[in-house]
Amino acid sequence: MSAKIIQKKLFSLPSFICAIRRLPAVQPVRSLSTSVQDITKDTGSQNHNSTLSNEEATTAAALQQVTTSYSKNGYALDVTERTVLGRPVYLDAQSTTPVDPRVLDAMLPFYISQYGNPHSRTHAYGWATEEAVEKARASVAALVGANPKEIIFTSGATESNNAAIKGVANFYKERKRHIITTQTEHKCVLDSCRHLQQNGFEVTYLPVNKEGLVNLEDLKNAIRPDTVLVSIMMVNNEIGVIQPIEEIGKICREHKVFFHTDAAQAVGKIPVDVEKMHIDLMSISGHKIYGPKGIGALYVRRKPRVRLEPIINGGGQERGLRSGTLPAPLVVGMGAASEVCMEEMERDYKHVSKLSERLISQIQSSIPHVVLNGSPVHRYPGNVNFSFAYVEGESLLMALKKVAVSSGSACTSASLEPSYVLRALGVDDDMAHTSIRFGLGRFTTEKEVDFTVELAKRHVARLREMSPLWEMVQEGIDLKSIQWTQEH
Amino acid sequence: MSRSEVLRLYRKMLKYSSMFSDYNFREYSLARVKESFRENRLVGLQKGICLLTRNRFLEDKEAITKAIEKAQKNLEMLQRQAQISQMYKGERLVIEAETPSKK
Repeated sequence: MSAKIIQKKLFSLPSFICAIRRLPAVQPVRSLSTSVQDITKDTGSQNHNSTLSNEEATTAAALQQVTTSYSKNGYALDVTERTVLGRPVYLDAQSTTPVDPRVLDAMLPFYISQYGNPHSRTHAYGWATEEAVEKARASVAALVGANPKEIIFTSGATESNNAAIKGVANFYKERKRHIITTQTEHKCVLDSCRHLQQNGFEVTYLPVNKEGLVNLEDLKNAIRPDTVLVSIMMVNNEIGVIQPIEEIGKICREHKVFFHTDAAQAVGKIPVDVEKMHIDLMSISGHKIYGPKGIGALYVRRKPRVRLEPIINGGGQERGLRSGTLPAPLVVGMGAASEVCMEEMERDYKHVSKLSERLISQIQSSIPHVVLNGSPVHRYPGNVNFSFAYVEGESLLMALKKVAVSSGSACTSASLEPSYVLRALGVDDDMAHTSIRFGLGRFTTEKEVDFTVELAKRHVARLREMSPLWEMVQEGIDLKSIQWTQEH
Repeated sequence: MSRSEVLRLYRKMLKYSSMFSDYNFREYSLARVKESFRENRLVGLQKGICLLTRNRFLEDKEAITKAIEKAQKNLEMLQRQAQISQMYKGERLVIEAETPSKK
């Protein structure tokens, strides 16, 4: 009797729930688990409190696996290798962001059944896809306060930067040959300017002050009658500093110079209005706003018209400025990401500010001799760049393998050169080497931030204990007064 | 829509939110659903008369139906994405519990 009732209940379950259990899970191709040399447990730091909650116990267990035991001379006593199960906590929102489920949901139909080419004018596949692409264009335009006709889709912010800088420079190259930019720009902007220098242009690289902000007087003095373009990024990707874009825009408008800004890290996170900020050209990146990788946009002002020489020639798509078939799924994804950003901007900003305050205050209160790089006031809270003094940079990065963070060193080059952005700020080489950039985003949780702080605390303390420089500092010796080499 | 139907919608959304296999999406979705239902609790509120009372004359029905439709669309999205998340499971994060209580 009871078996029949149970059977009845099982069959009344909706079918797709059963489907979930039937489908095989796809195994991840490459394990992201960290492999950690588990050196024998440090008896001093064992947890005596046995009444931890489940959550705390797991975190404690995860942390305990990296505690170490060293002899008096600093040699590891016992080395056993152990794979730590689990992928690192993601705190690198400036390099890329995960694709929001809402965005993926909007993109999938265009990979499955709506696969038409948006430029096909003769059939319904093309018309449907074109409609979706135009809707996405309107979303991106609404996010920045522009007209949809002023948005051009590209393959990313790097292409947008290249197109803007080289395009404008080459169009006006008969009469105007001067470009102004800053020393802390993204590599693609600096490299485009270098390329133009090789073709006969002159480029002024404005310095930044200790806080990372550009001086408006320097900018005014640098503008010449033959200046065609000023390119200054809105939010710096390494230190999170926000430049005074509105004032810069006003200056450029007065002097009739085109103003380009690389807003890849700013759009969708802080309110951006191209009219209010007097922006003529703007680069937007898809994968920084929880959208797919491989798509970006360039805003090109139409009133007053900004003329560009296209860097990609072809069938004349995108107003002739960027030919090529538009990747409909990616474009729709970017549109959906823009819509989500518009809806969630306020909530995200509050969330990220709260996490950022928590991270900064906890690190500054529990670890001495830590410097926050960049202006503490004019910044985007989700980008936190700390330099830990008297700690070896590479060792700290290796120790923080359970957290996915980025170092201040040039992430684009394989060399161990300290970051040019930090050098432009005037940060010493040794501090630049130990800088770590924590990136907080929409999906970061408080637990992840607490875990990161705990880990950083332990490892910075451990590495400092091994450092002779730290010993000297503790004894009160001023390191700058030491003569390291002998003069003969 | 009656109060019990709205609550049923809320519970369904929480259920599918907890089905994400990715820690970050799961936590975000749960927090976000709770936040938006809490915010919209007073939609259609006029002169202190709440949706949850029997007096429906002074409700702004259009605003309520709009909010509910939006929630319905989000629920369908959550259902699809939670399923996809189960199909393409990544590994656990280092801070997740050894035996996850939710699936």
